[in-house]
Amino acid sequence: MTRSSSNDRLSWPDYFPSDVPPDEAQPAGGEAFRLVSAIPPTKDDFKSTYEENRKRKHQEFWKACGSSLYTDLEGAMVTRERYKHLRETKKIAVGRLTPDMGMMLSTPNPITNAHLTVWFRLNALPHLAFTAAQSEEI
Amino acid sequence: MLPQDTILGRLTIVQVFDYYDGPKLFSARNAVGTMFLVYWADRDDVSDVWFYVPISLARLDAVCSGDVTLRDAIVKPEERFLFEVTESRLDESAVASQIFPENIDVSRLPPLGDTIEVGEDTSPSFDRANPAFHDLAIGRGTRRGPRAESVASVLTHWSSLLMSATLSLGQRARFFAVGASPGSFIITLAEAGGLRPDEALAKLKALLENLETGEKRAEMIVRSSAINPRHLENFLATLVDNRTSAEILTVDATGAKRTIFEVDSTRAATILRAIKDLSISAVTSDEIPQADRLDTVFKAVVLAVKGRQLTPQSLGIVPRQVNYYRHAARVLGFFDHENLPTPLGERLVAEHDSSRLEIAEQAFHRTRCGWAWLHWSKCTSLRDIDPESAAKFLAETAFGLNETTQKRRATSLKAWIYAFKERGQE
Repeated sequence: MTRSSSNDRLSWPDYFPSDVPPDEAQPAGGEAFRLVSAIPPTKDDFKSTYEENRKRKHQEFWKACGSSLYTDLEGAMVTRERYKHLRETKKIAVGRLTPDMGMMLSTPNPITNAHLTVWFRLNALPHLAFTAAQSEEI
Repeated sequence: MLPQDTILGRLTIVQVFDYYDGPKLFSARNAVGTMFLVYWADRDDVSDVWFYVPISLARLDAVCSGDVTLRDAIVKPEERFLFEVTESRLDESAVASQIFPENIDVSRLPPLGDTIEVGEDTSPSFDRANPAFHDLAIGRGTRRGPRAESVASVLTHWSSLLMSATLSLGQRARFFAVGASPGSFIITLAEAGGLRPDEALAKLKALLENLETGEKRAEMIVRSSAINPRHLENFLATLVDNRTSAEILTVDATGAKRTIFEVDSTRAATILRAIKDLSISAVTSDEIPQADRLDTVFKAVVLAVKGRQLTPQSLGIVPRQVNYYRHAARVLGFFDHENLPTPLGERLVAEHDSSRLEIAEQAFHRTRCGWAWLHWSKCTSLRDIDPESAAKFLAETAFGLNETTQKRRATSLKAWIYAFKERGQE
């Protein structure tokens, strides 16, 4: 999956700069965890960091064009427990990413290696592939 | 991302610790150098609320190493106050106000006991528009170019020294080699989080120049820099031993290179002479054990020799302490750097309890820490040392320890000396 063709370029949101997703990104794949507002999740639950608050300026805009996911349940659980808004409003969903959804890159935090940035294509429907993680009650 | 027109001043992010759909926990600094720990406290439909806690580098280090919980960092701020910043989600406005911990809504705090441990295992993620690369050019040494082991040694010690310099500025950095070219052997390095090393490089340049002129006492210069003296010593020593040089260059976005400083073996030897006394009297964080019970250290060695895993259950300690006991076994020379038993560790296991203490005492005598304590207290035997002097010894000689860790390590040192003295009385 490359980003070289103009057709491919059109498959990404129009606010993506030309170098996003970055060259190091790989086709999306594997099991991933995301904090969502409800089970089953909606497409809105997979909004990019930029879409989530378009007014905010981002130091790393390339990363803000993507969404945060985790490669393990623990990463998602620790993050949800750490912040009030997430504790009170989010559930943990698990799903399998597929190459047609977009591109991904391991973007570890200094405190966890499980953080992943996923750049979803315009027509991607990741929410259909996600369901409640083991720890969640539906 | 950061409020710019508030009483907090002009802020820049120093390091992001936790990123989930944007930075959520990070350190930031204003133009006059005040450091803040920043925590995402709350959100509603129109705004995000952040806590900005003014924090010293030592306290930040304690938070980053898990010694201080996130909640304590917020509810027990060093200045007894913190700032609440309400950032609008509708426009770019933000309002900052000074608050006191007792007025914080508890539901906005991190969970009890929640700690972070900023690790070194992150892999690189580079911002290509703003390269944070720098070059380490190692002198040829021989006509064929530098020997492979020289390159490895210079690179290892340079990386440790630069990490220490960035840490002294409140940044935890991890450098990766991203390219190499022949000739004067050049290795291009980048920081995992895209952190620019300029400030740390400038600090190292000034440190080397100050030590070289010898106008002030070397100990004072190094101590005030907060750079680990052992890393400095090792870097310079490897240049001398390998009769080679190291030139540090930065690379800007256009690829243009600029030399920051160069150290050849002659210059390295001059600076090494200046810090000679310091290398005997100073001890660094990784040379000081934090494991109160020597019998548990012995247990860890016994388990390792038997090929068993070290777990909190098998050692009878809490999970955080397992690494401390591994570290203590390494300090004493019972484990190697990969935590595998050494011949001395094997010998320890073959002995009975009393002899184990004797072996530990001899081993501690030979460590940097044991030797520095003897030197500091002007004693010839560990058993002559006043165990109660541990805290004062560390306060005067240790590098890289925050106050909490210093107290914990002093407790361990004290316990060890009491154990050695008791054995002597039997």
